Amino acid sequence: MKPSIVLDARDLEPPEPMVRTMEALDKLATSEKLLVLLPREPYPLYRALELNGFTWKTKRRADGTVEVLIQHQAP
Amino acid sequence: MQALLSFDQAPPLAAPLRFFLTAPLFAILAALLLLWSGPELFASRWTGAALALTHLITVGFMLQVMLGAMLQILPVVAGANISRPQLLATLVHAAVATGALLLASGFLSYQPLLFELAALLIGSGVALFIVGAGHALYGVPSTNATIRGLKLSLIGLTVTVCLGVLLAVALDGSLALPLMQLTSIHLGWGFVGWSVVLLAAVAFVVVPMFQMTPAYPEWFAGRFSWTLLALLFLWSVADSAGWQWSSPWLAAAAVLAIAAFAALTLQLQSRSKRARFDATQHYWRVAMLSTLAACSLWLAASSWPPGRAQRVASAVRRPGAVRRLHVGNDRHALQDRAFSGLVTPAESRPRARASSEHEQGHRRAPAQPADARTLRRPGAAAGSRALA
Repeated sequence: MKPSIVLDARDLEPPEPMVRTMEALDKLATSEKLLVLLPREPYPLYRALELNGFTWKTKRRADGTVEVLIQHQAP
Repeated sequence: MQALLSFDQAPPLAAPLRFFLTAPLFAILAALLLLWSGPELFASRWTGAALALTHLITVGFMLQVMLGAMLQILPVVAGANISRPQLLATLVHAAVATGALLLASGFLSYQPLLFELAALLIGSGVALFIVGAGHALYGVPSTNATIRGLKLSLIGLTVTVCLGVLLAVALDGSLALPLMQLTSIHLGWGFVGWSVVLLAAVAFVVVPMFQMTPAYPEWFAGRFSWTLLALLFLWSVADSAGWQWSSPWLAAAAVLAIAAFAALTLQLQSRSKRARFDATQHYWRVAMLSTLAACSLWLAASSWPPGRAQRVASAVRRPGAVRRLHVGNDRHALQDRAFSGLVTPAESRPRARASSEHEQGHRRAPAQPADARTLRRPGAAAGSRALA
């Protein structure tokens, strides 16, 4: 399924990727999906997603980019 | 959206902080030891004061900072959560800090009991840390060079501490071991197998992340830690087996690999997207330039012809300066004398007398027994002590 919002945070300085992901999640509707592109695996983000009722899938591209596809947990 | 952030899996601040608070005290102790000892400390790398200084810096300062930082970084960069981090930090910190003090006291006083207690405390403290960190990393897939490097650095730490414990209990001469050779291997694993591998693993993530540089090339980052540990292992085997044709080449290959890491880091820094360097970038640059300087000095010293080195040493020997530079052919004789000092304090105190003994010893150095590979037996040590 195609993501509704794409956030390319690969060239952002910390903590911008985390801050912008949080802002995007704030606005994410229950039917929407957010795709975050990062240069590395965001371990601290996973715990935040888990505690706040989101599910995610992580994929790695050949160029090293990490794709995290996030959506609200099914009720 | 602060509410979404969670730090419940991060270790409590008190866990790493205790290491960072006491580490500088050991650096201050090292400085005080330098002031107290004076230039005599640098007479050779084998004097008790030089060994105490080395361990105040490496165990007291560096190891503590590295263990504390690793507690923090494991959950963030590897998703490896240590169970009961507060308890682990308390026990490891108490054991390593006390052990470092006892070890330095041991080198300064030559009391075997101090060495044994230091070995027990540092050995058990580090073992506990390795079990805790190893358990957290177990099952975490090595999906990048940082996670692989963190795991491999624990192997480096294990070998370093095992050799250190062995050396500490063998120093009284009860075990007939080639102590100087083992010391070099202990130093190699501590410096390269633990410190460089851990530093590089951290660099692979923090240099691009905080300094806004391109990533380390995969062909380099993916192979660096493995290559370095493999070279170190082969060098240790070659050195122990006495393969004199291969051991220097393996050591040189490891040094060149480290120099390549430093050069690559500097090159990446030059491509930073930041308009101006911040403080950490300056620290990294100075550190990498120092690494390159250290590697160059090592390579120069290793390829320097011994005869020429001796002439240079005579030329720089003058009153008021650090009086003796023991290099080249003198080395084994010197090591034999200095290491026997570990069981016979006569050479290092009182200072005036020690100085004159050193001078005499130096003049007659070529006639000294060249077998520096085995520490003197307890009987011989007792004899020397009686003379002192």
